[in-house]
Amino acid sequence: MSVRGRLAFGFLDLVAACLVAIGVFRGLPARAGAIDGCAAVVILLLTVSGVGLMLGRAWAPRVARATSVIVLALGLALVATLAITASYLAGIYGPVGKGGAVILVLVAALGLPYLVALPATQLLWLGWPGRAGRPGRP
Amino acid sequence: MTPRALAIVLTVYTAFLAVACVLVHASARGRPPASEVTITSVWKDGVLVARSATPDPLPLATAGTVVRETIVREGSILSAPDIAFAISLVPGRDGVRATLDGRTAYVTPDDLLARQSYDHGASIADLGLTVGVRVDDVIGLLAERLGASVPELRARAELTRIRTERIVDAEPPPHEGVTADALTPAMVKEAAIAAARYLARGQNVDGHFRYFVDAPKNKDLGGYDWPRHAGATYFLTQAAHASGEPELGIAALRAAWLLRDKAMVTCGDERCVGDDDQVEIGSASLALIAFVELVRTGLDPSFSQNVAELARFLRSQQRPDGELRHLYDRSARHAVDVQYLYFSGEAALALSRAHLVTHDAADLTASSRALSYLVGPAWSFFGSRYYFGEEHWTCQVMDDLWERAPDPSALDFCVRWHAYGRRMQYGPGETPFDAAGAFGVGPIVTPRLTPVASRCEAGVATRHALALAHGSEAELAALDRQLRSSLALLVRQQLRPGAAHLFADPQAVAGAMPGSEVDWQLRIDYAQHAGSAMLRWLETAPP
Repeated sequence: MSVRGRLAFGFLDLVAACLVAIGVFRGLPARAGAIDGCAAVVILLLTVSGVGLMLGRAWAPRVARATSVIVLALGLALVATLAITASYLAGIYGPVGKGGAVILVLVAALGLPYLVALPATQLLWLGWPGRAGRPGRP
Repeated sequence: MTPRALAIVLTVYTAFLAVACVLVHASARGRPPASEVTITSVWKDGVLVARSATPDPLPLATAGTVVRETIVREGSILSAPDIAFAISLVPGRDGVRATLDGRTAYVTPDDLLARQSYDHGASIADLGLTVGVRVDDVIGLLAERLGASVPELRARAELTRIRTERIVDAEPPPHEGVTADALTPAMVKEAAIAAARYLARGQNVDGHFRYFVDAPKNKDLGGYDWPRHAGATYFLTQAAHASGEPELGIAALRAAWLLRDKAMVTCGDERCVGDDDQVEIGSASLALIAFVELVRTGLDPSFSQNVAELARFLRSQQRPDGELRHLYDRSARHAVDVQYLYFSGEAALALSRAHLVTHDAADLTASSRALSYLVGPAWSFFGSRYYFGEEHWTCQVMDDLWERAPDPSALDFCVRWHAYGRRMQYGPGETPFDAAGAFGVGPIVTPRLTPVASRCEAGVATRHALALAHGSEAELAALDRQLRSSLALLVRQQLRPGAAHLFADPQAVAGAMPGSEVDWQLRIDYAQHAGSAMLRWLETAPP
């Protein structure tokens, strides 16, 4: 595991944790238990993973790998929920629903870099859980 | 994980998601019913007295208005969670059919309009917004009509969204369906005077208005404030002058006397308007605008003394940079330097109007400085050329000052503000609502009519100043189209006699402006903004 890669992914994990915290707990106008709970889990995992990778702890790759799988799954679930909601609204409201649908697609796009692209790339870098100790190509 | 494995996972995910979206869209969009179903209702004094749906026999002849709602489309609906249910009905268009143990019941759009259920559903407190239908109303009505309990209905009933088209056995209201192209000055004047008559009809002998009214029940909802009272006074004065109707003049005077005799208090060495220890300048500003109108139209020139008093108070609230301090602490005898939406623009317009009566150069200077601040430092931030707010007074100040103290940068600001707004203006057929001429960006909330009216006030002012400044013909034409479209919407949506089967007393609320196509709670400023915009358009627009 290259030091440069470790530091880069550690830093990106911490940035993503901050953005999720700001986006959910400052940006959203209303509170919902499921969203807040998932966000709290994501923030916690990304923070632990980021700190571990930056400090070069032995457990860090395992935690980062698990974090990536969980965040990727939640990210894909978020994108799916928003896309299906947009389809539902466009079906009911017709033309005007497309405005709302565009907003939901934009929200989904905002989450893609941090909740889909980052964990996917990190998984490629770390390798699959079954191959622990054999990090993928940096 | 290998890139190939990840690519396979994401490709499969994308394919499943695309299929899911197509299926959900088709299911939500629905389809025409297999056989025509018409729900026939009889309404009397805003109350449903009889109903049947085909193939059942028509309701027995009963006194009242017969309404037929034909189902033109039906689709699936998400009944949980409540927020999903709430936004699953298009306001004013969609209802619900419930089937339980072989029995069927309907909640139609008329049922929900009569209860004012649309747009009063889920509340988003931080945005001060309620969206969607009140789910308890829908579920409660269906349970009652099926003779089931609410939990039973929620657990076992099959719910379907229905889209209906309504036919009413009554004369249509005047100007129903009027378009921007068909709008005439006579229609607009008639609508403005009808709005003024509504306000005058609801006035007490002491000058107070019916402030907030639930139109279907004709019931007062309480509340009161002086800025809106003063705004209504201003509009009644305009309308009295435009129509020559003595009743409107008497109503305006009663309202103005109430302001002068009960609401004017001392603020240090000056006179202001308010009840509390801390008063805001919006009340004094709008009272001043109303008093100037009374003097200018000759309805009561004795108010010129009050004009001078309130102008002095507003000037005393101005900071050296032109901004105004919006509160005054009467106990501590000093201004409080805080700012709220609208008040600076209202004060600037009030000072400009005051100058026409006082001829005091200090009023004109104060208004000009406030305007410079509003279109300068007050709206200067990264991206300010690409984003504008709701403030609609600034452009009225700009126009009011144009022939005495023209400010080209303010005119430029207003032209850009309207160009931005036009990007959000709905055209015919763009929404499922009657919203051509309204402004909005999303599907969930029915377009509100008061922002349409206040943008009209600002648009009329901008058009007038731009014409005086020999501005671009293309921009003038765009403003004309924008205004005609918005005014036609206001004329169409005004509550008028005719198909008024959902109202307990249609005559009591005739001429009022609702909050939206489906929100029939009536506050006095709704009529004021719409009526003032209409009268100013008649004064300034080309024939």
